[in-house]
Amino acid sequence: MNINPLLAKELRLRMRTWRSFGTVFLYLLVLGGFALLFFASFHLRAGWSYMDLSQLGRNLFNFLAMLQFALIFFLVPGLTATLISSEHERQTFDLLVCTQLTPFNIVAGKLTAALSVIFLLILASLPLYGFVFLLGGVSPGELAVLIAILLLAAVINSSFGIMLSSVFRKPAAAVIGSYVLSLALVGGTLLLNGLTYSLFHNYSPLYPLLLLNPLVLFEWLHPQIARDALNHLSRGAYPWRWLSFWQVSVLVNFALAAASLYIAAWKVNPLRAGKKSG
Amino acid sequence: MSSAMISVKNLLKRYGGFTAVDNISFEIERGSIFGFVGPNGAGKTTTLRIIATLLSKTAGEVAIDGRSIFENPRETRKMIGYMPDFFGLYDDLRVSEYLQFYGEAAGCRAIDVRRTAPALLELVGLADKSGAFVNNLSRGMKQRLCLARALVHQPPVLLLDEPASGLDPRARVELRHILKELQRMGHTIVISSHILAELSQLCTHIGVISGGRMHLVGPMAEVLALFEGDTLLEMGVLERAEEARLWLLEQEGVKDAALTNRGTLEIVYSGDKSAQAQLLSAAASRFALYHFTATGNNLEEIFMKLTGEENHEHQPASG
Repeated sequence: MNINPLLAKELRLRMRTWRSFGTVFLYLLVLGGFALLFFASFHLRAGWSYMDLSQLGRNLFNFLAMLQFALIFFLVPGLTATLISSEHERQTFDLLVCTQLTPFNIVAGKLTAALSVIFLLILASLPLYGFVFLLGGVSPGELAVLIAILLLAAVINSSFGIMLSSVFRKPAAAVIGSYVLSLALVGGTLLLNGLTYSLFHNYSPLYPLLLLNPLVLFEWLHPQIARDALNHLSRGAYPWRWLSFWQVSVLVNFALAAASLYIAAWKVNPLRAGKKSG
Repeated sequence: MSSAMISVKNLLKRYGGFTAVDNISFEIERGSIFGFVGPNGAGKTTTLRIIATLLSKTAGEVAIDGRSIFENPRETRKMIGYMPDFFGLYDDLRVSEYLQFYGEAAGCRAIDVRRTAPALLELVGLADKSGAFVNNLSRGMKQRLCLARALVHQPPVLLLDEPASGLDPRARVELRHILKELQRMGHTIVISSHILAELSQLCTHIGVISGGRMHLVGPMAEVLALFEGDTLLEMGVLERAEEARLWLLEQEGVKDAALTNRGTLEIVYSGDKSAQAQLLSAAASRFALYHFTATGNNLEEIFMKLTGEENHEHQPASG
């Protein structure tokens, strides 16, 4: 099997430096540290009285899920927004596009390398969930769904990141743009819905904007809570009963991600139509 | 089989209102070393980048080995090894890994790259640096590694944009030997530089470009013969400078006359001292002269004067 040489090179470079291992170490330190604090505070509150360990396990799982989602969502822009722009900055871009690698090969190789780091982080965090299983209240299926949610969010957000990386030639601009976009998708859509919800007296006509919010994917894990919230927000106006809101969100985001990858590949092509300068 | 490896016809490149390459045409013979000389901003890099399929054209045609480079850029890239004027390297890769990556990216099988890389490193004098990290190499070594990278997929054409810039004299000589060896191996080499002396010792053919226009193209010996024995004269006239310039251009032995920023006339002249004296006497009888001197007969200087002036045309020596 022929592995994309760019992917092989990127992985070699990433794994050769201390940065990747430092990232995994810090990631686990933050995740494990907060999990320990959460467990300790719960234990202290309960004192010596009866404690429902399965409820504790469930709460710990939800806490870890949200924390891990936040960490990954924070890491992805930093990992992906420099993928193409850094090639411009260190003047290796011309040499790269002068090879037999197609623009799509370049984008795919870079994206896969960045996602492999995210995959490594998720994989490295799995032993922490062993502790959750020890307490009970969570099934392996739910853990599988959580991993799928994290991967989906990472793939979608990475596609936006690499697109911005190809649009901005300066890595700093690409990183800033990427974080602004991430914040807009998570916080901006929530904020707008919050505002319209109060303006329109317990109804938000902008609820479809939430399709862009990656947090919607958690409906897969907690369908009832999410559906109640959606019904409340939309006054039951969501039209498709046979297709969950999160499923529509995945479809919409996949379409946007595909468009982003297309733009990135188009921008990487030095002979693209309509290019103004060289 | 045509003897032209690279054929450029009416190539035009515009950036908005600015014309970087202005309708140039030339051919480069198979197995030759073609020197592309001109001052900074002349259009050398733009032309090379278009041939390297890194930049689109505005109009015109470029063919390598008879095939248009614009029809299938990917196929063209198999035929060229490109070395840009400014380039970066992946500092955390070892020299052998660097070549392995670019070899595989150029479409070669991993095992083939592993087999050919030692010979390439030997050719560029980096055989003992195979395991070294790229960031530990000197500037000259990085330049040679980039040359090895351009050769890794064994392209018949090499496009080298200012490959000697920033190199010390010893490294320049080493690079010259390597390029001569590559020509002997059958590669067609296009090398750009703003230093004529550098190219005159190496190239078989030369093209002189400035202001996006090709001024001279031809075999090196023929082009150099055009300027042999030429002297650069400077003449100061009190008034009617333009009339004096036009008059000078009509005189025997005057190859070129241009008005400088200082208001003097610079003349490329191919006559001995007695001829210079006659020219001075004839000029003094028509114009009020306050200054006349021979500023030198440096080939480089004459060349740069020719290419530096964009307001007047020069006849190309050959096609």
